[in-house]
Amino acid sequence: MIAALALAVGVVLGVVLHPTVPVGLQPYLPIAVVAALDAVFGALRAILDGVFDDKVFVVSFIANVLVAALIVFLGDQLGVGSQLSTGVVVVLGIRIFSNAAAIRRHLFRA
Amino acid sequence: MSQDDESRAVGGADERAEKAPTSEDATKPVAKKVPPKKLAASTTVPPKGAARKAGADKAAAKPLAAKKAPAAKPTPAKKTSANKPPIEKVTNQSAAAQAPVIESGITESGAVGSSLDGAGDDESALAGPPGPETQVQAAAATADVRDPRRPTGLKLLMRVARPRASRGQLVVALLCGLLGFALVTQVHSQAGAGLSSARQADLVDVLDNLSAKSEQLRSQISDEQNTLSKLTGGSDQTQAALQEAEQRATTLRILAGTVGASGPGIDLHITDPDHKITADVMLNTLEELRDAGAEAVEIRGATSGTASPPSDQSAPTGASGTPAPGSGGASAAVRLVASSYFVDSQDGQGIIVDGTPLLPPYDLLALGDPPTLSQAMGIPGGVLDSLKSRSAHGTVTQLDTVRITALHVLTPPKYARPAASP
Repeated sequence: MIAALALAVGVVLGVVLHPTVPVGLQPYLPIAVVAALDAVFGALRAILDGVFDDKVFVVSFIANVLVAALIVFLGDQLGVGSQLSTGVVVVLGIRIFSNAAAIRRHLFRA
Repeated sequence: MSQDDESRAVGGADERAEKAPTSEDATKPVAKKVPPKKLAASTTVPPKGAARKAGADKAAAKPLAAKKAPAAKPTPAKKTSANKPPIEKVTNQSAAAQAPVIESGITESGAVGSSLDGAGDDESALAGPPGPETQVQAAAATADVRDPRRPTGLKLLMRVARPRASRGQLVVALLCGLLGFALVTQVHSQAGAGLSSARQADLVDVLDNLSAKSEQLRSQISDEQNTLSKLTGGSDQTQAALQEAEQRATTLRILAGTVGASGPGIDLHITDPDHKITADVMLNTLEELRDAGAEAVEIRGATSGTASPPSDQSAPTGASGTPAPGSGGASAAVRLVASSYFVDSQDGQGIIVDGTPLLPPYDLLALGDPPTLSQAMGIPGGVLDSLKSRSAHGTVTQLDTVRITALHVLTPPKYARPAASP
């Protein structure tokens, strides 16, 4: 509940403050957001599975974001940045879908 | 160590449970497996899933129940397999009836969890060594998943969603807030920025694509222009050919005498009081005029009074009743063309031109350069001299505008056909 509230607060803050993304962060923010979304969906699934753990969530959230950003950074350095970010997005998207499928199974039994 | 490993393991178990034809079959072997693991877990490290439930139900937090916990633990597990079918039915039938059963389940597991609450705390559990803890969590998770009294779906969500202010919850909330913030920020930057937020490589790609496209379009433009110029050039050529053809047609019409003509020229007036001029004289005069460059020639002469039959020639050779100047009676004009002929009339009073009998005085109208024509008439031994020698008299008048109106009627050729020019 607190997390959901905080999510809403974050969205409202983003809408109100309307910040500009720093140039250095621009390539990483979208990937980081997708990675964080993956972590959040994993956490939702874990909650429904009853195995949710704050620490695991926090670590996986941060690790996801960092690894995704690292991959993109590495790709940029290697000159395959766009391809790697596409790959990351695809992988994270697949995971989000599978997690969403598990959540759906839990919630609707279907 | 990550959330996903656990959830995957749990998911696998979940799948198995779902695939099993009846819930009883699925639960029985599990119930055999689980208790030892759970016992071991409860003795060494507090199981997290149980602890969470305990946290959810604060009412049952009593240190007294802690000693019972290890002994009580297997019992619900055994009960589980026995109780499963009826509970399932109840769940299906009505939510209200399900409530008491679930409550009892909670209090039982709550008893286990409360012991943990009393004995240790969440912080120590979190700080524990990760390896074994994960295993224990997994074990507890599998047990939880198969525990039929464990609430599922929305009810569980509601329970988990109940606000609890622990440090972990706050960190999770912070991260979620951060996610929301970043999400909105990114969406905003994408909505507003367009190309300005694109990466350099992407920009290069876009530029490449655009330049390739513009190159293609440019070549298409040149192609279209070529086609256009070809088409318009073609029409130009057609136009020019048409104009040329019309010009030639006009020239030919003038030569053939089917249209009237006007322009500078001369008027050769021939008086022949003694009727000495014969057809050959007129023919010589005409040839002389043509030699001098006359382009169109017409001869006018008086006709024999009012009754002037058009002679034996049946073809109407274009005699038009143009009044001849200086002649009191009726006059006739004949256009002289390539096929014109002169014949002496039977009575010796005049000549017959193209079937039209003419009487003196004659007027020969010729279009051409007036000085050249008049000089050609006046050369020694020429037309005027020969006229004089026949006691006739010719006078040449240079005119700025000579109008030739008599027309020659063409008869289409019977045998001749146009042939392709070499």
